[in-house]
Amino acid sequence: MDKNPLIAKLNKSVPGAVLESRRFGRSGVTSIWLEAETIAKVAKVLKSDADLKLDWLENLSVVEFENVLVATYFLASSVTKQSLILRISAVPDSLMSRVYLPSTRAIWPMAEPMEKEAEELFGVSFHLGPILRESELKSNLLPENWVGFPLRKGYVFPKEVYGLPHSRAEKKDLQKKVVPR
Amino acid sequence: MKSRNRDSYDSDLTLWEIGPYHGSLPAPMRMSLSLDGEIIASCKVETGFLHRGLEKTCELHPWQAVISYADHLDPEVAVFGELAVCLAVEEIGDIEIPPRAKSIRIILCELSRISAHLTFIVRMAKAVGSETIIHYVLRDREKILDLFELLTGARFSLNFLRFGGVNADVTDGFIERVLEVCEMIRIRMREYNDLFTFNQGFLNRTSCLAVISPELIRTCGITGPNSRAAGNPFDIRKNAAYLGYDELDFEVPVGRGEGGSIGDVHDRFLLRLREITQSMEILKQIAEAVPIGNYINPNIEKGYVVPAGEAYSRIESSRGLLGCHVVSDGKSNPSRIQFRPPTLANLMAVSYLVPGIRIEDLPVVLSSLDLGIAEADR
Repeated sequence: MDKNPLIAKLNKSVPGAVLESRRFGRSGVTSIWLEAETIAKVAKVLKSDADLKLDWLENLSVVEFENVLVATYFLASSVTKQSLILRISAVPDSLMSRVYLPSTRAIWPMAEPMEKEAEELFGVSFHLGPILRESELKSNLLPENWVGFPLRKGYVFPKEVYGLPHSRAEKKDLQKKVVPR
Repeated sequence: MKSRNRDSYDSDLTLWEIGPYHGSLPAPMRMSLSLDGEIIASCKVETGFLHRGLEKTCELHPWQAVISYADHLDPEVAVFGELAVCLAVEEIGDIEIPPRAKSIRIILCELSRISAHLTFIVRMAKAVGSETIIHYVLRDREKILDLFELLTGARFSLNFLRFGGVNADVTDGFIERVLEVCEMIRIRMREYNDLFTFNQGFLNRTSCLAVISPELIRTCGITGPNSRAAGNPFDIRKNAAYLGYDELDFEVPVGRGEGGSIGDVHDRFLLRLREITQSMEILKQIAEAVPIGNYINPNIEKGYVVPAGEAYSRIESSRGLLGCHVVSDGKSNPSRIQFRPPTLANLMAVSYLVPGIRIEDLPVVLSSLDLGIAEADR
């Protein structure tokens, strides 16, 4: 039996969901590591639970720790004023391959712009539930046909973009060629 | 700009594409509108045209340089980006901030808030075509930029906060100048009200327009003045105080529906005027008792490397809740710096608020949301 009543409640509602719980940094907020595939079910429990009412996904941040992509959900409640952090992870096969995680937009609609950002910049695709309607917000942070996911640690910058040199050193080389001394 | 395709022939709707660069838009963004006569039937918003790869850039530079990049998160209110990063780093490194540095930081934050809200008035005036007030407000905002220059040497992109404090102590006469500017703005606020706030033309254009409901706040996660104008009193300076805001006596204004309904454009405008008044109250309290002592923690050296760990800071910027997730692996560069800008939620709300309004009201609604595309695109 878990000592923490929240963990016990989650284990009862979604068996096998909780991997471990830790304190987040120096703060007093609990962070719970979950089995990635259970995030949507856990989200539903946390939002509907009368004692928690975690109805606000304040932030969704993706971080790469040693080739593992970790999605961190910063949750808060507008009713009970409680906060909680959830974490799930996935390992990409290669630098260029995407990873797939369940979307929580059906429970927290405000997740949408943050999930779209992570999709473009980290290659983390959040697959949608069947009932979801896409909102009318579209974000194109990267130019069309951009190769790779820039926020991954191993990302290699392109030498040139649309025929123009990318790095400062290469730009200087180009200037030397164009302007003879 | 105006186009017709097969859909519009079938439905009698006209399709309009506005942007990414257009006079009616507050910043680079693209709007695809379908119009039924002059009424907007639906609206799609596309952003990303101002993406600069700010978070990646932070990872590529030493810790100290991150502060100057955080300035560019939202160039209009540079200090909030700096503060969010500094607070997170100070939590990871368990760095104590001297009381004098806290006071200087609050002064900068509240001056930035007033400056941002004055800019908001200018945008609203432009949207409704009121020329005179623009010159009045910009004239007064210059006085605040002068104060920034006096303290930091820069009018924008201040690059003034440091881990454990601020870059320099306040200059002679600065506090007195802050109080003078507060008094001047207090008098000017009456002028703004006479000329603009309760002008019948302005009321007609803004009353009962684009009402933000409590339901929409919950759906999009809207925070800051837009949420408070709709009656939600959430302000992180009160709910989870930082820098000693809990020791200050100030109110969190909420929308009262003077224009006709709670959460309309006029409420969003009035609320920002009230927040300017509250910021001046805070400045007066701080200015009367700036503690004596260090302006930066003397134990923090110039090449300070943040120990391994992570933290998430939350501050109240002029547009709403600004979060910053900082991860350090103990090396000279940050492992990850992620911002949670308040404008993301406001942008999401646009496609809910715009359908049903007239095309002429679009610039008014967009201005009233105070969108900071720079921070949303990063």
